[in-house]
Amino acid sequence: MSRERNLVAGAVAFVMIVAAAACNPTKDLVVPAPPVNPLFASYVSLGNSFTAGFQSGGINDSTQHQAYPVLLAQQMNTPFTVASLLDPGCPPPIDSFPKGTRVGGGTSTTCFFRSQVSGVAVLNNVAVPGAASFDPASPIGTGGGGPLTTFILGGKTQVQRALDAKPTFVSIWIGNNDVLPAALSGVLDSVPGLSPGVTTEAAFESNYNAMMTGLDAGGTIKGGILIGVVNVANAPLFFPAAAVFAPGVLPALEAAVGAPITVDTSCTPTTQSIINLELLQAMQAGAAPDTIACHALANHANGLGEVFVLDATEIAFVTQAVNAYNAFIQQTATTKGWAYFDPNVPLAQLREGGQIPVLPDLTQPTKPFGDFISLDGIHPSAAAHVLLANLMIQAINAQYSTSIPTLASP
Amino acid sequence: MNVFRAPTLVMLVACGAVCGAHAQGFQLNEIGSCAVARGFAVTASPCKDPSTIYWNPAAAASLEGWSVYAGVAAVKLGGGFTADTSRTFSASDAPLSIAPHVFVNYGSKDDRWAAGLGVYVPYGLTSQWHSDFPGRFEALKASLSSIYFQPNFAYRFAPGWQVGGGPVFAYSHVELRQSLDLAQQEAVPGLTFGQLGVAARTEFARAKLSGSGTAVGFNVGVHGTLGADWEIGARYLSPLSVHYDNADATFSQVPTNLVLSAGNPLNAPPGTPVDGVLSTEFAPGQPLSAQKVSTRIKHPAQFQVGLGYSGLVTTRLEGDFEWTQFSSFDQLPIAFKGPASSQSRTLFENYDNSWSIRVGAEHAFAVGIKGRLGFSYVRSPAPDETVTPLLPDVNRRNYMVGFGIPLSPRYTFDAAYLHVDTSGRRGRIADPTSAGQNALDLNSGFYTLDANVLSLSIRANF
Repeated sequence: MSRERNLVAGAVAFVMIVAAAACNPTKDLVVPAPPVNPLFASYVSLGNSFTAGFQSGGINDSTQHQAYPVLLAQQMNTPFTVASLLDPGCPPPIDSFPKGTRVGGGTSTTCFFRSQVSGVAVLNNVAVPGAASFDPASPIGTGGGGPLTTFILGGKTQVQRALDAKPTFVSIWIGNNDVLPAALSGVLDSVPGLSPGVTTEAAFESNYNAMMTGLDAGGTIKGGILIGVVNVANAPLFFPAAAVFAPGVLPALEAAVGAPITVDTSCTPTTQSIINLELLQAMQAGAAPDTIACHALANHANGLGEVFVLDATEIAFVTQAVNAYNAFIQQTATTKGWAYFDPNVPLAQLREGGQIPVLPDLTQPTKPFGDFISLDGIHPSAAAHVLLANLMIQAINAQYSTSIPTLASP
Repeated sequence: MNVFRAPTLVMLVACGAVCGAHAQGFQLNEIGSCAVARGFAVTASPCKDPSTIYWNPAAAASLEGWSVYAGVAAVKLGGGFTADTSRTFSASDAPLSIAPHVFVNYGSKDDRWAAGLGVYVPYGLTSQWHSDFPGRFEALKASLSSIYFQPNFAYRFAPGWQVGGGPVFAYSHVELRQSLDLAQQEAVPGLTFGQLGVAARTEFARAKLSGSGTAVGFNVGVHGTLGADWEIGARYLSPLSVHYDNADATFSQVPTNLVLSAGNPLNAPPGTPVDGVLSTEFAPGQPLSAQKVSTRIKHPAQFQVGLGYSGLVTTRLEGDFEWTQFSSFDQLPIAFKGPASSQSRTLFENYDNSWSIRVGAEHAFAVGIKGRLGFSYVRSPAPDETVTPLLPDVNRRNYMVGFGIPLSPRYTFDAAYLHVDTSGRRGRIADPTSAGQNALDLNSGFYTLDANVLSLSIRANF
């Protein structure tokens, strides 16, 4: 009998040994390396074309991945997904400035879709080109938006899509389109078909508050960085009208247009007006007379001096609006204990340092606006995104005592 | 607008098929409490009850007179899925399953022949997940109930040696519930909603497939003695090809609350609710209307061989090897009989053969009480890229313990407890999006799986 007892005992021991070999059930998880700080466990960026990665008048997978939020996430060491758009883009970026040709031979209306594999469940960059302060929290279909609104957000608002990611940290750069389209048109009041006008301060604050309230409702956000609106009057696409009196400038403009240009008497060497370079395109297309006027003419003939032109009064109005927006954004950041970043400071430094030329070199096919502004004269280049990301990192680190490493300068 | 894309229904049916064919995965073999307690190692030295009609049809010849064996096994699956990125754990929601078994046998007084009938449920489990489980687009619920009816005849053709067997008539019912992902559906030909920006795993419908099928096969065995102390046995259960000819596929819409913006490729006005666009697809005659679908699932063959030792005075020992031909589960013909009939196709699977090693012991105590102990190790047939919510199949370790108590000279009560233990396994919760993706590309988390089984049986001899 003892032999049998030994056998039974042996069997029990065998079973216990094998049972003990059962392992930790989660040891085989492929867990991403943790972020540099738990604050960045889930980072979401809201905004417009600057944040989405629009460059040179277009956007595609390549430009999307050059955008500052992607760089920030990379440095935070946190997973980050973008709504990858198939090459050549929607629309394809301009690849040669004087000719205006675009990647892949597309046009400004070419639009490819999302890549098949990009149907991600969680989207981290929910910014949409063209979005103004009204858009992030407003029901789809009530604001602006085009195909990109659908392709990026898929039927939800920026706030809704952001909350899907259960964000712990957000960056918000919204408000440029509350003033930029009107400024570019030269008409600051709302004129259907010509200008959406400048969003009033009250409306901007209401929109911004609605967005922040929507984000707060998610209950997951522990921090963020709010980014001020760019003073669009400083956009490189504008050049000072007085420059036409400098040697060689007018001939260069005429060469670009391909026809002689008349300088109206409203322009003087001391004028403060600035002119949108798109005026030259309009001249080329025959949509505008080959005349540069620096103030709205008395009879408003052909929009001369009004369309594509901002005079000193209008520049002051735009600047005042942007300053008011930014004061509110900064106040919001302060109230929430978030970081704030004013992009106008480095923009001014680049202009003063000549890295963003006062007058673009119209003969340059790839860098008419310098290294930091892409071929559309508005949007940051890849190099500028690196610069912006580093400045934001400094602001975040200062606010939260974190240690996000900066990127190597391009 | 055509928002329906063929793989929706194909996957629905395919998932049901895979569930049915996951015999090793769901095959807890909870057929008879004595066999369960002995680690399923009962081919050579069978339990002295009619459940041997399943375990080794030949050995039924050694049972004298009328005998009946009936009982149930209660099976509770546990486990869940932990996502890599979020580390979020989604627990399984599988309900308690009850699998009955009934065997009747009459053996001649001279142990020369026996005839009997077995009714048992070799596949009877359900995998089920909570409604917010991210893998619900693979499976929200998958259940299979297959009842086998096996008439049996056994014959002793030489002293100590018997053969036996009989046909197996199978009735199988399968049910699958699955969420449908809008991102995978076509908005316009060649363009999915995912390419329009709709997030992956946006649930817009739930599908239910329910169907029944039958099949005929056979189960045969041989049993013999090798001297006074050794026994040997083997059984072979043929493959059964179950035809689910009139399965019902039904769909119900789930609101997405998505809205189309201006400039959308559907050319719908800005502000158009997506749900309104989709609702037409559920109307009678439309792709997501109720329809019939059929398929055929080949249940793999099983072979088990064992060696028993009874040289000890009061203890019997046995070790078995079991092999299941899952490689035969290679094709799934899917035939739609409704608006999706043009989408009929054949799917190809890639399961490996599986095997298990089973060991068991039975010790006789005083007054006829018997204590039993068993262990088996099961090698999963599922390749690394096919570990899904339907059944996150994994190598298993089964630990069994049980006893038998004589209630009277005529009746005996058997009980067994079985714990299924695994080390878990990496798996996926979504379908491949392109050909050539391997487990490294697909698997996004870790499945755990365990089960507890309580089996109770009564044996009566007349």
